Parts: sequence; C-alpha cells; structure tokens
Amino acid sequence: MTFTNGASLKWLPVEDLVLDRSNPRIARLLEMFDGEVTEERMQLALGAEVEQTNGETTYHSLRVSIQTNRGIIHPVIVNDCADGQVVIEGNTRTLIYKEFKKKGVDGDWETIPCLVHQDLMQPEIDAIRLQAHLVGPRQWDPYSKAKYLYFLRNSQHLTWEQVIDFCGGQANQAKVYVAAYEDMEEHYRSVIDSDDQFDVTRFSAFAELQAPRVKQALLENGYDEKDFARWVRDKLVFPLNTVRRLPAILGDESAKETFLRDGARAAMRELERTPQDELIQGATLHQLASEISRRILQMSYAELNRLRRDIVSAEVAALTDARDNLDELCTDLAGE
Amino acid sequence: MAESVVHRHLVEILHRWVARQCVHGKGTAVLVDDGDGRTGPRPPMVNGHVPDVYVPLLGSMGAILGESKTASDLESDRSLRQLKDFLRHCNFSKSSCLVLAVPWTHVVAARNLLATLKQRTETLDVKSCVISELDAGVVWAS
Repeated sequence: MTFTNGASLKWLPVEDLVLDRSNPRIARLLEMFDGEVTEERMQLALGAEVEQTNGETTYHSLRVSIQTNRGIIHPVIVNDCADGQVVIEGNTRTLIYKEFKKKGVDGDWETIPCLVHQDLMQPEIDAIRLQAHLVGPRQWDPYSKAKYLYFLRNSQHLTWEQVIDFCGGQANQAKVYVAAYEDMEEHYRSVIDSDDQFDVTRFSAFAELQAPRVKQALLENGYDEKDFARWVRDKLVFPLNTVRRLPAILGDESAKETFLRDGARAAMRELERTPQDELIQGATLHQLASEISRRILQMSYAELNRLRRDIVSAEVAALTDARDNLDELCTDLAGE
Repeated sequence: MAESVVHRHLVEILHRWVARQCVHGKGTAVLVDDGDGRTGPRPPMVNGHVPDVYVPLLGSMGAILGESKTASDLESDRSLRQLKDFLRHCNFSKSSCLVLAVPWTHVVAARNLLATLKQRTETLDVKSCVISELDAGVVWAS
C-alpha cells in the first residue's frame, strides 16, 4: 500500500532493520560509552527506564502490551536509505520484536509492520521524531479510560489478567479505575439532578476514594459512598486531591464540622492551625524546600521500604499533597 | 497545544460568540483583552480583574463579561476569586451576563462550578452561559 506522501506500508523482516544510532535516546548511550555499542547494549539502554511518570508508557508495559496484542498497532517508521532500512521511529518496538523472536515467544515476530519512506532528508526525519516524541498521541482522559476498562471487564467478560495485560501490566491502576468508575456511576449519578450535570472531571475524586483508609474513614464516621458523592457534587471535596485528607478531617470533630459547612480546604486550614513545632512555623519556604530535598536525598532504603509498605498512611498522603502543591507552584512560576 | 495557545484560542471563540450572539447589529463595542491590543482598547478592570471580553450594554448599567479558562486553570484559586468577583459585579444589573468559555471536555464542570459559586456569592439571579469550541450555535442561557 502506497500513501500520497510516497511512504508505503510493508511487513519487513525485523533482522533486516537497522536501529537508528542518531535517535536521541540511543545517541545518549553512544556518547557515554567508548567501546562498541552492540544491539544488546542498546536494548539494555532502551529497556532500562525509570518509573512511569505522567502516564508515559514504560518499556515493560509496552512489552506486555505487544505480547498480549500479538503485535503492534502503529507501524514503525523506516527510512530506506544508503545506510540500510533505518528505523527512525519505533526503535524500542523493533527491539521488543527482536527479543521475542530470539527467545521464541509465542507469536509471529519475524516481520514487523513498517511505514517505509525512501531517502528522507534530515529535516523530514526531525519532523517525524518531533511529532512522535514531543507532541505524541493524545491520551484519553481518566474517566474515558476507566469506562473502557469497565466495558472490557464487564461487557466483553475479559478476565482481570487479560485487562491488565492490555494495559501493559498496570494492575493497581486498572483495578482502581474500574472500581472508581463503578462508584461514580452508582453513587454520583444518583445524586445529581440530571445527566447533563454528570461531570466526568470529578473522576479523580472517586479514584482517590479507592484508597482503603479513605473508605474506612467514611465508614467509621457513619458516612457512605453516597455521602461522598454529595460532597463531590456540592464541591465540599474541593480541590479533588483533598480526598486523601478526609481521614484526618473526619477524625477531628471541629474540622469535620468546618468541612461539612465550608469544604475540605477550610477544614484543612483548621487542621493545620493546630500547634506544630515552632521552628517549622518560623522557617521560610526556601528553608523548608531545601530541608525536604536534603532529607529525601539522605533517605535510607529501609525508610523507603517502610513508606512503600504503608502507601496509604497519612505520612505518604502528606508527601503526595506537598508534591501536588509544588507541581502547581512550579507550573505557575514557569508561566504556563 | 501549549496552555497559552489554548487560552488565546478560547478568547477568540468567546469574542466571536459574544459579537454574534449578544451584540450583533446593536452598534456597541466588544472590548477584548488579546494581550497585544490588536483589537482596540482593553476591557476595564472589574472588581480587581480584567475580563477577557467586555461589552458595555447601552442604556443600562450592565455589561457582558466574558472569561476564558483552560482545563487546568478553571478551578485554580485565582480563577475562583475572579469568577466570584465577576458574578458579584453582574449582580448589580439585571441585564448583565457572565459568559465563560472552556474546552468542551470541561463544559459540565464549568456549569456546575458557576452554579456553586452563585450559591456561595448569593448571586443566583445572575445570567450566565458556558460555551466551548463546539457551541457555535449555543442559545442564550440563564
């Protein structure tokens, strides 16, 4: 199949494809090592990704997703030039195919769908890379993702394992999304007057509600998901990340009263007015930020593990609150 | 699209919509805060904030205030203060109206937000309308 821009869609043998050494990720590796950069090393470099951030796909989740789907949905982009059939977009996916072929993973990994261009010039290559990696495809909003996962789970009757594999192995997130979707449909929809008030941007409140300590706090204080939905509707739980402070708010009679009257933000201000260490109260933001950075850098592995084990603790909630507020401040400071 | 580009785009939509729906043929000026003064004088300060669009209504003390908000800015503290102050201003004249332009994905959120802010500022009678990229044919709402 040939397209109007001259590119054609072909299934090329993965072994014939040349990884792009000028690809920014691979180029970084070439700059670091003096010796020969073998394909194995490139694989290590492309695969050695850090934790998932901002909804990015990790090497691991991409690998699981390709295996589950038995292939890729978007063809890789190849420049057929004097250097060979060079992959200018899709190096990681090509490597995953090569790895599956080598390891004999069940499926057909001999050929890979490619959009093949002839003798692209550098500006054209740059334009493709920019669109692929700096702009990228738009992600669905969280509610839409959850709705689709719910559909797969309940209408298509996929097992949890299948759903999670399709999502690239992000088990916790998939389960939280489906549970949040169910809560939102059952409770939030029943407390609004009409469907045109159903605000999908409230989804993250219901995702936060899935933390066991939040649900437990509701129950212990005589509330249920319907009350929570009303609080979301009436903007008492506002901003939405205040959900994770509900256990502290509901646990304090005075803060609870303020919350039910004026909302979570006012209740949090009341909680924060409780006397703390005077030294902390007197410290500047600069001093506090420096100290937080210093403590994080000095954190021991044991301490990190302790926090990981108690991911729903008030301590972790305070850290994630601080992260959200810092993110917002830094975005404001950057001007956009 | 960068945040500022989205905002500019929404201001353009707001400007066109207000010009067509509210002032068409009435010979009144539509003042727009487009950042570089290309479209004439900037809107005046209203309760401490400059709206993106301002239309003085002839023969009354009222005005149409237009404000654009991106998804990430809609519920910021600054936006909430601004919208509350605009509602209070509109409350002085029955003919005034607040028009809020947001991305279509946030129309319901914006509508619910305005309803809550009207309750909190006791400005339930103020006319308001939420528009988006998809609302070229939206009718006057209350």
